[in-house]
Amino acid sequence: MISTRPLLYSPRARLLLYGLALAIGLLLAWASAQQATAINPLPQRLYNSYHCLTPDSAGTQVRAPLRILDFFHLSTRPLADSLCNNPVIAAYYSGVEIIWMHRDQVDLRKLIDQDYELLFAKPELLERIESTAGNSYIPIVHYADYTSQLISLNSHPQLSNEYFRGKTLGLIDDPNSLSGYQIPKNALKQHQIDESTFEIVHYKSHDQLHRALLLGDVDVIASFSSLEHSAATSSKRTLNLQERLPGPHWYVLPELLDTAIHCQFEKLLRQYSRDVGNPYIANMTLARSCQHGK
Amino acid sequence: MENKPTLPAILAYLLSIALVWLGLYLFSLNKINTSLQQELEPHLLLSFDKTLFSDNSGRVNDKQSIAYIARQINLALRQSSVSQRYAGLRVESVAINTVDNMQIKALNPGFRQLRLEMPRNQLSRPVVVSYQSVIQWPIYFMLAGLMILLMLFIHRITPSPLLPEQQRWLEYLVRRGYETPQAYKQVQGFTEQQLTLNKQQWPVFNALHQADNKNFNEVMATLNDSRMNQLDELDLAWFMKQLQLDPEDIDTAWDRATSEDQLFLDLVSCRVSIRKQLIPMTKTPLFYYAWYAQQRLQGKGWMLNPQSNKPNKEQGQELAELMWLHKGHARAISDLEQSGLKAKTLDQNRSKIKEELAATLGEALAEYYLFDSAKDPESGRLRYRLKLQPVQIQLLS
Repeated sequence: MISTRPLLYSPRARLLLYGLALAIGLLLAWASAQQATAINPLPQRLYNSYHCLTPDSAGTQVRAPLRILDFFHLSTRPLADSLCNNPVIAAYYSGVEIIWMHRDQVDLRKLIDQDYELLFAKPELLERIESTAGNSYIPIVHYADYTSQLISLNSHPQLSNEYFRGKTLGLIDDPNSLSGYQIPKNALKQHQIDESTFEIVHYKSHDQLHRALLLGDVDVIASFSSLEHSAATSSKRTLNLQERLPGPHWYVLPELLDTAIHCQFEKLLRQYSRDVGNPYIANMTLARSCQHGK
Repeated sequence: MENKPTLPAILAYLLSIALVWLGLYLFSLNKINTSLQQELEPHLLLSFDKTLFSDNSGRVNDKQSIAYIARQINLALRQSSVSQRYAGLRVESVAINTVDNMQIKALNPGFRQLRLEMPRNQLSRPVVVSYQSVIQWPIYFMLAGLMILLMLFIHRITPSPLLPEQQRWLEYLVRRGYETPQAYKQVQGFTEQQLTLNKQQWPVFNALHQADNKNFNEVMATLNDSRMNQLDELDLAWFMKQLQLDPEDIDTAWDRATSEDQLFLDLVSCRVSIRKQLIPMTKTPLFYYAWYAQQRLQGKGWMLNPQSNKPNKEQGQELAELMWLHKGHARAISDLEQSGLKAKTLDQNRSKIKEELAATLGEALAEYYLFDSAKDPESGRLRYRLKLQPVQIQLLS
């Protein structure tokens, strides 16, 4: 058996043991660091959504939430909250969930399968689904028609090669968009404007298009009169491309039509349109009045 | 073993604590950064759709949506970091600050930044995440306390490091059968200076040290006795000689070494002693020794050897008288009276004196008490006298 005592008397014994103590200290530090701090997994969810619970959501009956799909990124949280606090809605649903997305992100199967109770969308999308898949959503509220325009700050837009040469045109990054993509692209094609002489930049929303125009990031945009920036854009120069384009609609599931829920939708949408502070949204028209109880 | 840590040891303790603190800090930072990266990068990929980011077809970032999603993630991050009480760093206020160079939230000064990468549409989009790391000092001090206890424990159980000379002596003694702890204890009692022997001390050490008796301590104490420095070569030779005669009697060895260098010739008792050491000597050589001593006491002391074919009557008469007074051998006396002092007789007796001195003192030591010789310039014959100075000679007759 090797005696450790002579080792302790060697010149480096104490130094080695100090080194061992240091190693132990560092090991403890490392172990503490590994165990002491953790980042909890973030629950994966749709961040482009808002969810509230109805007051009786903890009741014995298992109910699904009321799902709303909004393609326009309106500030619809107050609408969701008012729906959550509505007793009629609460009697049927555990809560309200609003999802915002761009049209090019939507899973059409969810629309075809009617996964949402309420939609805020442009009619051309729903009409296309109805034409192919049949039974579709029912419009209950619509907003004013609008005009597709080319809009600039510094010059009067013209559909000519000379005008567009060297300029930057802002479009909507959504081939479904009428005023932001289809109509201007068609106009450029009809007037044989060579797209290689100017730059096209795509934005995700009309709001961002208008902001880009104001900031000078683009010279001309294809849009309509801004929903929220009308006061700030009085100096804009426009060229109308197409008029009387249908505005967005609120759609409801066919089976909810003329039910108490439909009536509450109507009532709360009216209240929301009044309170949201947007003159375009405030100008709401009923497409189909609720007949429940009449 | 020393009881208190020395200053270098204390500095070593402090350095160790500093290293452990640095280790805790860096390990914690690394863990935080790694955890954030492992958790956030996949989450960002799942949360930010590629359609929100620019691509090579002219699409620009959907800043509105990106900012909204990032702010939602920041809300979720508020409760995501968990730091235990024993964490070296507590993580707070984790938030995304920029996504693809687009500011989401202003960076707080003093916050640490972590850069993540999110590949989108064939470009890597930088995402800067910041967090506040707060040092939890109680943990650091606990760790420091633990280190100090550990170091002190090591200090307590381990022997103090030996100086090089001490280490050499330790190995020397262990090779000669000493147990290591015993040898350690013995060498530790001496300084390097005390343990460094000169060539004068080594023979003394070798003469005194007995490994079987484990008397290293006593031997070194003897070698470091202040009297040792005062011994000259002759004194040391006496010291060694006495120890040879009686290794156990150090006191007598000191006595011999420190005694006056004195030759005492007692003709009454027919004894010779040098530094109180009795030198057995037969009578006739003793008388011749005394005769030379007498001459030395009286003057220069040089005694010219008689001519080989012409004995010295006068010197012979002197010697005979000396012998007769002190009951010397009759025949020797008779020879001297009749023939005188012969050169051959003188030479023989000087050799006898040398022989008998060397028998007790050894040749080297005896040499000090023998004769100087020189050639007489007039006669060409050799002359002799005692090496000792007259003051070193005592003659009792």
